[in-house]
Amino acid sequence: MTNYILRRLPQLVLVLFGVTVVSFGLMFLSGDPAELWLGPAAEVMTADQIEEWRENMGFNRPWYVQYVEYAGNAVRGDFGTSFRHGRSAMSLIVERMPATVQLASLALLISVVVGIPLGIVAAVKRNTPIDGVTMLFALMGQSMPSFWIGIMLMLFFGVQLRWLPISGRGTIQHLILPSTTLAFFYLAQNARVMRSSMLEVLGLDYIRTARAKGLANRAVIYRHALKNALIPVITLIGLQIGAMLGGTVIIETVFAWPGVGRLVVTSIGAKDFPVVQAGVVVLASSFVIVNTIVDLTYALIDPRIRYS
Amino acid sequence: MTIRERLSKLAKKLSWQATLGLVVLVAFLFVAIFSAQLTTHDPAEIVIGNRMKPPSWHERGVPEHFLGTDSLGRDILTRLVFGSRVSILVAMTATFVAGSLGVIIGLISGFYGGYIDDVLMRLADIQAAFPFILLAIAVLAVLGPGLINLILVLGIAGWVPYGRIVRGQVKSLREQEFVEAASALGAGHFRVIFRHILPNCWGPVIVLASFSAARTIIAEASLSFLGLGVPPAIPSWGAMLADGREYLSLAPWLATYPGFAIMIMVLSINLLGDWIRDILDPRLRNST
Repeated sequence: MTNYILRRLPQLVLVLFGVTVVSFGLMFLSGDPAELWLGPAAEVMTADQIEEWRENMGFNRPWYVQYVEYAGNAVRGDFGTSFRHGRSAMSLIVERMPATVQLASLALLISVVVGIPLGIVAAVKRNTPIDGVTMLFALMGQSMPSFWIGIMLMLFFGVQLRWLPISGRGTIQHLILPSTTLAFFYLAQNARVMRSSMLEVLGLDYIRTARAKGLANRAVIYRHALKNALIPVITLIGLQIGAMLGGTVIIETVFAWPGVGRLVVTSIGAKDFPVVQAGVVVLASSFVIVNTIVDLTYALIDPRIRYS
Repeated sequence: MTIRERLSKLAKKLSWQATLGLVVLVAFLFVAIFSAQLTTHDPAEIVIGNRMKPPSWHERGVPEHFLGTDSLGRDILTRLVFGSRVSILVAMTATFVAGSLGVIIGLISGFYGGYIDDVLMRLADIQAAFPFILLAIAVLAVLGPGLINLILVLGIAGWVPYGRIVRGQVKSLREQEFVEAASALGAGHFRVIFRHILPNCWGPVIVLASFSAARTIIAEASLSFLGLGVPPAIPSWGAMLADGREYLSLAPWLATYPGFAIMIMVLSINLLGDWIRDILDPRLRNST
């Protein structure tokens, strides 16, 4: 296991390094820093003044020198000051993090708790109307853009029925629509993969043996088949944890949920690049770290992975 | 077997789901190509006096605007019809860009191995570290919105799965005897890669392409929804939805129909994709 961790860690460091390169590259591509940072002030300044400002800010140095400085600061969580809020970009992101984590975790819970049983039922009732309806539902869930699901839920539960608030954060009720919306795609994915994996396992010899012993159908499915059928689903869920962090960007915008994703999107509109960079680095790093932890957990559970 | 025989054999195996998907997709393609002939309104024609008319079966609806009008008085059905162009164009081109890039990188990486492989696959790891949509948002934020940028970003953001899968295929193919035989007969790298290895990699690539086309349509709509897609003058389903979100309680139909259009198109692609996967590569059944 130690060996496996030692092999995985350099990979993690390398990827995190890549994340800082990309986010630095974004800043570089975004145009003249003087124009961006000074905004309208640049227009009333003389060319000499702007040149002097560049000199003072260090924008005249070669890009790799600037990168080293940027990466050094980034490691310490310093992405500079937000143009819009006049505060540390990182502190703005950190403040919004709990809202995003809350949204993503509830969505994950919903997608697992609803998706897996749906898949099991569909597999067990294979080729019945129950299977058909469940799989149609799952296929539709994978075919609808999440933000549209969100808008339709808002329309129905918020505008028509007036049961739930349609935007903002505060009470448990505020959490229901955004997390259900975010969960939808993953729920559908879990149900489909659970079904096909269950069907595959149910066709194996050891299941036939279990049935031949005269075990009740329930026991065969839940005690013998389920554990093995869950393996691909668990792999999938591991991948989903990270993907959900990205998915929050859109859902948070739809529901005006005050999380990291929405902050990044509004900062893009305002050309507030320090906040965009901090947000991108934080989201991408959490994604990488979560995925690494998931991988390590598998290796712990399944020795075959460690030795491959 | 000639291509014709193969196609007719495939057609016989079409499931009803795949047939449905195919028919709907062909219909969408037809609508996209003949948008101008099929509609009577101009998608960009603004008539403020006519704004937010509900669909024609409502009591306030008017017969000229079957699905009603938007906040600027533009005909929704016309904009939906023209919006299919953006979705189809972006899905096809971006999938092509992602596929070509991924296949080429995968071929090089798998064939040459060694440090080239290491570098390319670490690049893939780094890129895969960014959630797809977040990467697209970040890059578009910098490059600015626009059709070409959108296609490039979605294309470049999507190459990793192709690269990885082709690399894996190439690695196992290059050890096989027919490849060794070709090399032994004096075929150069280029010929071995393109004549002998590539034709054996198409299966998973096509399967991947069908699902990534579906994903691209949703991504395009999402980016247009955030205002990072095509310019507002070009009708696109995602932008129509964003507009509709503003008037949710006043004009709920604005946000309803574009979403339906997206869902039906993506659903058809997925139905067809499921069938292609089952035919070409049943092993992938347990991946998503």
